[in-house]
Amino acid sequence: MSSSAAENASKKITLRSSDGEVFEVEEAVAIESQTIKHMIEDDCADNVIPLPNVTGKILSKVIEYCKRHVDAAASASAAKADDKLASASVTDDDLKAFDADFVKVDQATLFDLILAANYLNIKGLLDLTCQTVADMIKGKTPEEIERHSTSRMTSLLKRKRKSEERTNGLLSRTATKIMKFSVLSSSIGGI
Amino acid sequence: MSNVDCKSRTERGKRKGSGEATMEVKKVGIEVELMEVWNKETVPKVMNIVSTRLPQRDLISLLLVSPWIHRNLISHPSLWLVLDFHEMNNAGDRLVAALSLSRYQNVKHINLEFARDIEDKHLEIVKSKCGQSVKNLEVLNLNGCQKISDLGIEFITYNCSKLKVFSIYWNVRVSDLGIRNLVKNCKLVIDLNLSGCKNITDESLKLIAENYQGLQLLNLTRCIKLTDGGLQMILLKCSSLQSLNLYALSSFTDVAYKKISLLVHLRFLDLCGAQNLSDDGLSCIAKCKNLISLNLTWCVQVTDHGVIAIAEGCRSLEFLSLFGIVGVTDKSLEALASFCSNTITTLDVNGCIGIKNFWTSGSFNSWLPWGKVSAATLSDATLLVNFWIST
Repeated sequence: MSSSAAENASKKITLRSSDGEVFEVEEAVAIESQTIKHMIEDDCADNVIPLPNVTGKILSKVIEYCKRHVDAAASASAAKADDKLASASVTDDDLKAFDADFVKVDQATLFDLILAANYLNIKGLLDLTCQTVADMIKGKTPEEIERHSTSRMTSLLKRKRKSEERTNGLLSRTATKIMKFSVLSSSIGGI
Repeated sequence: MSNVDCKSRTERGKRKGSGEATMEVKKVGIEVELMEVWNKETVPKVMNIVSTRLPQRDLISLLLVSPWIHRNLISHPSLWLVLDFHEMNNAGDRLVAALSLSRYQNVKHINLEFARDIEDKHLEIVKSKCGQSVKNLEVLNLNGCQKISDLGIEFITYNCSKLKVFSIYWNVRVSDLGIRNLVKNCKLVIDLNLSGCKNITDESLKLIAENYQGLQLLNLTRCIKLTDGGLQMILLKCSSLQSLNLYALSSFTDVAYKKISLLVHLRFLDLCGAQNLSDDGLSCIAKCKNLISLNLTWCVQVTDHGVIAIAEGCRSLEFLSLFGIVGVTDKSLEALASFCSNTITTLDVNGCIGIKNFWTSGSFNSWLPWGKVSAATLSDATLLVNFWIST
């Protein structure tokens, strides 16, 4: 815990996720989100700011990102004031390493982070996560992209084969519908 | 008796088996539902957000991944304003096919740079069948499309009244007739690149001067048939010019060069190879106070007199090349030091054998922003000082 007077004096904002989890954060961290910033400025945020589009799991990651970046900006400007260029560049490298690790998550989490960053309007996080996905897509064929983004399909197919032996094919009909959609998509030619 | 027993046991067995199977179906049913949400909502939404950061080709790959992504992306017109076929083969057929699709009806930018298999006949089809698709076109890049002729230019620009940027470098078939077709169809051009179009004559410059008085960027690199007469017309009429590229045009003389002073908004000027440019001409050019970039490579008649005039007149200069000018001495450097030290980031003095004391002269130390350089470790102020000492 830092003992700076500024931090002690700063206001705390309470955020509630879609699944009821409550997070208390520094105002400086909360307003990394333009959405939350506007809510506070427009006085819409009384006690708790509800975020119905973000789960607790994702919100905690978002807060982790914002906190880290707010801290980094603070120490960078402190270093500048003391004219310590060396320490400022170290913080920069640390931050880059943090960002690189931050996006090493499973696809579902990454996609949810994009949607959260978009809803909460956090430019840095949106840029970071979107760039990660964009890099995954660049230069890939549609088949490769599909394989990447519908990876759950394989586990479903495994289960389908197992239960097909037992049931009358209710499952196989449903799964076939979904498979048909993907066959349809690959037959849509186009520019 | 035993038959009945066996039967009921088997029935009980069947019921038990189907009970387990129902649980499995339920579980997988939930999984299927989650998958549907994932595929039909989450992934398309995410791809939509990411799409603005993707080059056109990857965007098109995305379209083929799933019908939900397809539907989502198609419904966003801002993604379909660019047609990029650069370096592709069958570009002509692809262009026609694309322009027939409804999602490209508002296309603003067509890039055919070094595209293969594109000819006048394809552009004729565009004119006759897809004319309405190019009505909003603002940028057309035909660089390196060497099979296109004056007629092709007429076809493709026929419906492009809003065209602002037209680039057709390295095309030797284009002649004054092509330019005539261009100015007839497109009145709003502000950026024109005719680099390497060797068959353009002063007639084209006359057409450009008369029709594009708002022109801001003009590239006439290697258009070797141009003379002072044509250039002067441009300099007199196109007073909004910010960028003028006369690279490798050695037949102009001071008669035209002096009139460059009329271009008060000029920021970028390339006179590489201007062997007839004298100090007098350069002193007039020095009146362009907003010059940021000046290339005087091989302007072999220039001496300190002209360069000092530039230093005094162009206080915002950031890039200066004096490559190959033997008449330049340390005096020029001193002048540049006194007047442009705050802004210059790139200085090329390769072959300037008249400069003797580059490293040791006080002038060098006094004007290079050493303070900035040491902190930024040469990455911010990209100072390339190319220097050659004669022995």
